[in-house]
Amino acid sequence: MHPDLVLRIAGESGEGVITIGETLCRIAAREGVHIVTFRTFPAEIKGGACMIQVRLSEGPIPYHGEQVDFLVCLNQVAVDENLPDLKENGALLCEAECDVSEQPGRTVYKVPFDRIATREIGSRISKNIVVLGSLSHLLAIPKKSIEAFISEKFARKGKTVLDHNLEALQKGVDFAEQHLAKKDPYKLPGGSDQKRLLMTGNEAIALSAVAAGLKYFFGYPITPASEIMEWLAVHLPKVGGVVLQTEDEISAVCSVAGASWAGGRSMTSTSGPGLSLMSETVGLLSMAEIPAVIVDSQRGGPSTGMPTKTEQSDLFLALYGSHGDVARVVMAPTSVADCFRVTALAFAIAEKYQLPVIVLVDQATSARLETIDPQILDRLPQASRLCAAPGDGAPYARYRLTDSPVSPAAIPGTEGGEHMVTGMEHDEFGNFACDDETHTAMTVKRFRKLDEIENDPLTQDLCTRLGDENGEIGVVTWGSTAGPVEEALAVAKGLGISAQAIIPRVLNPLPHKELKAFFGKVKRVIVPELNFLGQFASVLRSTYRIPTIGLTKIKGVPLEPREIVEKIVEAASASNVRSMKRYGRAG
Amino acid sequence: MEELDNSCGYLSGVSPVWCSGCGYYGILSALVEAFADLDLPTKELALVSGIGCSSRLPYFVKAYGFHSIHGRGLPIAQGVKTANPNLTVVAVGGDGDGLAIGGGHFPHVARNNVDMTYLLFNNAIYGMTKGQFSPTTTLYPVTKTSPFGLAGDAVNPSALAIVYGASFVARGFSVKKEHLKSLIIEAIRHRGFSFVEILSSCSSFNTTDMNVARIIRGLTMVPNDHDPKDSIEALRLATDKEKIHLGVLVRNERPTLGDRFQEAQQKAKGRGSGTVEALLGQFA
Repeated sequence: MHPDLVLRIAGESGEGVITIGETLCRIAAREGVHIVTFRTFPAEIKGGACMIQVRLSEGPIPYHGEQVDFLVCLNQVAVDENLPDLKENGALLCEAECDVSEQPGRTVYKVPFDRIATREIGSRISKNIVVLGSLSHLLAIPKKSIEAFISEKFARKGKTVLDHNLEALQKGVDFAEQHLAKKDPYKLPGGSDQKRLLMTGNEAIALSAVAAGLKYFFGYPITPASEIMEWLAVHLPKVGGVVLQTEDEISAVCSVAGASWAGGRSMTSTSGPGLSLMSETVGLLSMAEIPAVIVDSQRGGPSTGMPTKTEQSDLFLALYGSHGDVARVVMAPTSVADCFRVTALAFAIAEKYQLPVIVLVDQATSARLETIDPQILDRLPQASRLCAAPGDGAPYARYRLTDSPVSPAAIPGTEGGEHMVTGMEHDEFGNFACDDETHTAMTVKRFRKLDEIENDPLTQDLCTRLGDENGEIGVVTWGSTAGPVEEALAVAKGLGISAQAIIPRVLNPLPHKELKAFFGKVKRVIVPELNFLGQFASVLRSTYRIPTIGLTKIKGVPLEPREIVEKIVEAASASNVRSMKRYGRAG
Repeated sequence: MEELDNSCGYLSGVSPVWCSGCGYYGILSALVEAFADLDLPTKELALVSGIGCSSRLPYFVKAYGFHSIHGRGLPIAQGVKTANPNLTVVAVGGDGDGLAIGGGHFPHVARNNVDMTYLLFNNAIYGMTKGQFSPTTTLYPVTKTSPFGLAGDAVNPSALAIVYGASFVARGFSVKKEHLKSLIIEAIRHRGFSFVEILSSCSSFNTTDMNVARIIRGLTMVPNDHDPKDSIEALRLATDKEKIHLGVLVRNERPTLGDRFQEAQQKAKGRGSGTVEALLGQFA
């Protein structure tokens, strides 16, 4: 692992906690530092406890870190709630009034942020900037970088506001310089010449969609996916696209169906409750063979559930939701950078195969800031719709049965391409037909697309492979749980346990060849995921007839690497016991 | 099944599934003749529907057709028009499809003023499922699912269209084909969301509400001096208990959804370049 720093800032929502974290991230990203963050959102509309954890590193990191090196607390509640997560030899910077119990090895710095902000600056809201000033001294963050960032950020608000903030920053620095002697070893990790871009998973999805040619976005506000629509509302019109907030999710996905049939790349984004409402239309899109990208940023369910908490419990809904035999593709990005790749892939597959693609991201990835490689645009998957050019005299058949399950689509407006698309079972011309032969032929046609997708060059080598390729303990996971799994394997290796992991990005159709090969090599299969039922484990058991060891969690937060390590250790010792017994019997 | 005259050339050749004596034959006939009068190229014609007897109509017309799911014709049509503004988009559907299951979409396409035409075939019954009451059933209270009478009072489609802010609202009758055709022509020509309620008898399951003889007795034309910008008067005519007013009730001009999209695009372009490289730059 690369030298890193796990920093957490905690306080009351409205105190500027997130701004402190984000500012540090922006500055560090420009220095080429790798960053992964995690933040909590209070369920309250205003107020409530909140925190942002920022892990900064000289090299790539898969996860936001477990124990905190450096903790910043803006009030007593924050101290009480977050101190248990501080490392034994960690450092705490907190409001001077806070009561902190003594502990050997721990460094505590106290600054009267409130007093400096209200008395010396005369503005309570500048408190977070004072904190930044003190932090810049303690973590050796160049003050010039912070000043430059603040100047950019407040330039539009006028000179008075800017000067106020620069003064607050200086006061924070001054106090720290005069009163705080640096005693802990923590500092901002070094970067590289390569500046890195900083964005959330939602922003990565939105930007990737634009890069993939998105023109028509329809959506309905829902936590934690709204940010996708909000970002696109500002930027999509710049490229001649449109964003429309519809009256509900059904209207959103149906508008997508209409726009896509009419030839435009179209998308909607939602969370579990919205995907539930969209289910019937997912079937229509599959039946009528219309491309669509549907992003589900999962949150705690069922029903309204836990809107601001993360969970991976919509897998069954994405895979099976909608009546009848519905051919659809399901994908899951593993990180913010991966949101970029997977969203572009979703468009490519949807257009190429004329079917709905559901992208399952989750709240933790949607909301977290992470650095990505600016060259990300160079490697995006691309494909387009097979369009018909009728007019050779023969009547155009929208759903022509050929060797390929994909029939050329005439975009409305095309000469000679008049046709019906329909949610009813239909013949090659789109006319309703309820005979058994047609229904069978057309169902097979729709599902053959999945076979082709599984073998399409676009979906090859899309599994993340981690650990020792001869490891007997196997871990299979999906989505954002990939990060903690990567860390867990590194820890397990340190403990002398040989384990390996496979993380598919396409969950339907599953990469059978790669998974079968993997199951052939390992003796145990652990499936960590954030839901109660063990949904992915269940899919793997029924698809591959293998026993699995479930590791589920529904606490609204990601799995921690140590939770996975424990399971790996347990599986490894059970495996040893078993092989010893077998050895004994043979002897 | 009835023989259809395809001298206009807009019929697909697929035979309608409607019962003998169904008013929808008259509507189909008026619609294709309206297309012919407007000389609309079939390749630029998009017919969108939900589910129900009336929603089968797109199969019978030579055009691009989308027969979708129950109640969702309007948002699909909204998407079609948004992505392909050159198309003439016509949504068709019944009273159950548009006012019961799909009733939540109607106000929004109307207020968005999507530049499209919505023809609501009002026969006051669920015909495809063979005789259950609809949101407009009034005089035929005992249906298969209301054996002891209706649970609620009927809604008035034209009145709803008016209060939802549709920029064109008219009411026609399937039997008065030439008049209906003229209304459809006006509706398609109208720039913005145009709504036509078409009264039509169901020959199999509700011959009472839209009884031809009764409607002919009760109908009158919207007065010549009616100002279609006067929505209060339009509402009074639409809800008249004594007479069934046929004709154009509302007509006004206001920006369409497409206009507003263009305006947003202009404003957005003033806020910076939309190249992906420029968009990436804001994350630096």
